[in-house]
Amino acid sequence: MLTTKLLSSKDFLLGAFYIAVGAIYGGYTLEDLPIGSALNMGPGYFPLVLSALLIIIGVIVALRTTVMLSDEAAFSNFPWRGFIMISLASIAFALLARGAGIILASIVTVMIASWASREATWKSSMVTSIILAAFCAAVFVYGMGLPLGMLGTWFG
Amino acid sequence: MELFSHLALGFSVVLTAQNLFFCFLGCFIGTAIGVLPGVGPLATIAMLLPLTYTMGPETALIMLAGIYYGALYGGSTTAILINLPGESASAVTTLDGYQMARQGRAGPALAVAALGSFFAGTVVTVLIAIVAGPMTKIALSFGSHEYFALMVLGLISSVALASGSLLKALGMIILGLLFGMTGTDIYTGQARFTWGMIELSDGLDLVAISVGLFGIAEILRNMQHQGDNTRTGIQKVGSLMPSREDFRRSVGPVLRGTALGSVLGVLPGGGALLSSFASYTMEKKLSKHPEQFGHGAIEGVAGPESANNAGAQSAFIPMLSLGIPGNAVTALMLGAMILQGIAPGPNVLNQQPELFWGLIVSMWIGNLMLVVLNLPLIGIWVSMLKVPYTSLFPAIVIFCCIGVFSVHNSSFAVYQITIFGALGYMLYRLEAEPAPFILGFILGPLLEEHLRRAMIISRGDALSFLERPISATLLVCAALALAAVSLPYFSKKREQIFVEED
Repeated sequence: MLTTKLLSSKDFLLGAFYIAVGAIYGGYTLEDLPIGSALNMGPGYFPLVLSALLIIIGVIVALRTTVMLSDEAAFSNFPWRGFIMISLASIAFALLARGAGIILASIVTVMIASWASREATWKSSMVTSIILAAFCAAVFVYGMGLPLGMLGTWFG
Repeated sequence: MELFSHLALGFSVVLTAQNLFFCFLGCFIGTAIGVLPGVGPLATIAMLLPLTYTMGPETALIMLAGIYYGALYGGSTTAILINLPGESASAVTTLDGYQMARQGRAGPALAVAALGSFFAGTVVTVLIAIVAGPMTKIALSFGSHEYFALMVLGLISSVALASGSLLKALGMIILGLLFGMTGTDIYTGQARFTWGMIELSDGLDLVAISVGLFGIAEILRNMQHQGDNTRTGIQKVGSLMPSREDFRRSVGPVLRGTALGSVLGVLPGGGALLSSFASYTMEKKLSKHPEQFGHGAIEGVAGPESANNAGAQSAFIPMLSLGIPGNAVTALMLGAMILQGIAPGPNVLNQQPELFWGLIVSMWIGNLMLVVLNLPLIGIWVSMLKVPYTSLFPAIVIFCCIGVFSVHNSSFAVYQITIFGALGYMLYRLEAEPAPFILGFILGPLLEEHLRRAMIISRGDALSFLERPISATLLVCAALALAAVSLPYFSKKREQIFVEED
């Protein structure tokens, strides 16, 4: 019981994250980058110092973990729906922008994003996405001349 | 007088149709953003950064600055009318501003907030014009040792003066510094931390990261609180005119707030938030009627509102004269300058006087516009309070994507939004703030460059940092700041300043 609490506490997870990043960056540095000397620092010198510092801070943060203070686990009642939908929305835009053009890409992106909310309905997300797509096409592409096609490369 | 010729140059830059228009547009969008729930000034600046890419540098910075102080004005409107701070710096305004509104005195509260802010903005504009020149001259005599020490001091005190855990924030700075190393090493041309992806050879995308950390992550934060965010009970505004008694009681707080904000804003990590909290605490201590605070004391609106505007603007002093940002907003402004191909630092004043003085004068013009925008047009902003969040956030998502995509015409940049949005939210849940990360990310390459140069100059002797008087002083200050906030006495004080919020 205590160990699960410990492992899900905010400080412990953040400390572990710092240690992991420090280890990965430190490893990359030792593997790939010349360190050099203090007089003539190589591309690896400063990153190695930073990785070491991050690991030290990570260890202290993780060790300071106060289990008693907060009973709530760090990721309890995580907004999965919003998290997944918002992430998917930006991925969809990245995949579609060039090929499908701004209008279709915006419609799909906004549709997915609006489903992040529990109150979303088919009708409301359709209306929002069409209005926003028209707005984006008019203002950003037609008005400001951003480098995006109305219809993408897939349509010739 | 040199000062007047400089200001005249500034006016000649701002008073063109194009720059006036974008200054107005920035203030307008900023106010709207400040009023709208769940969209902060950082997210807005990040979102609009790509769109300013095609403008000239003066116009771009004038508009971005307008967004920032516009958001501060807008934030106080919601604080007073619906007890919700539009952004963090107006959190203290809710204490007395909302109480005034409930007593039917929303109008005077809004008027005093706007006029106090305008007064503060005017004073700080002149202050920047006076101080920036001499500061730049000092900065020009700095070598790499001094610059390195200055940046270390900036980074350390930016977390020392902020709220939250010191260690976690230090970790976030180092994380930012490390991520800032991504790309091609300037000395050797070696690719670093690119994980085999050619797209990363120019480094991670600053715009994508800030949009992810401040825009997308903020949406996810709001998702969590959805439901308890019903916007009922907007207070009526009524007559705007403060009474003579209101004016008499506001003069002192406005003057003290302006002075306090001007000083605190210059400090790294200071700026609007710290200034408003400190001013509220001070007014409560000085008042003959401290028991009225929290029950609609006009001093509790006048002081913090002047202080946060003064602090927001004086934070531009180190950014403009030294090229070193003290908070996340000025860091993004610095990013905008870099995007425009301008090397930030003391040389901006000499090489780009139009940009420098234009930006400063635009702050005063923008503040003037904001008084006009806010007071008579208050009805428009009140009606914007009714926009439901469910139709707002899909718009933020798509604006973020389009903006980031268009900078380099790259889908790869959009994937970085996804990753940093998710990461930013996770870190928020672990109570680690993203602002120190952005500071570290922007300063990382500069910090490394000056460290390497300094070590070559001093033949690898690290002690040379302590042998030079200026760099030694700066480093000692950094160490003292770090030691001070670690002491139990100060860390308690530090918590106290930020607890008025509850």
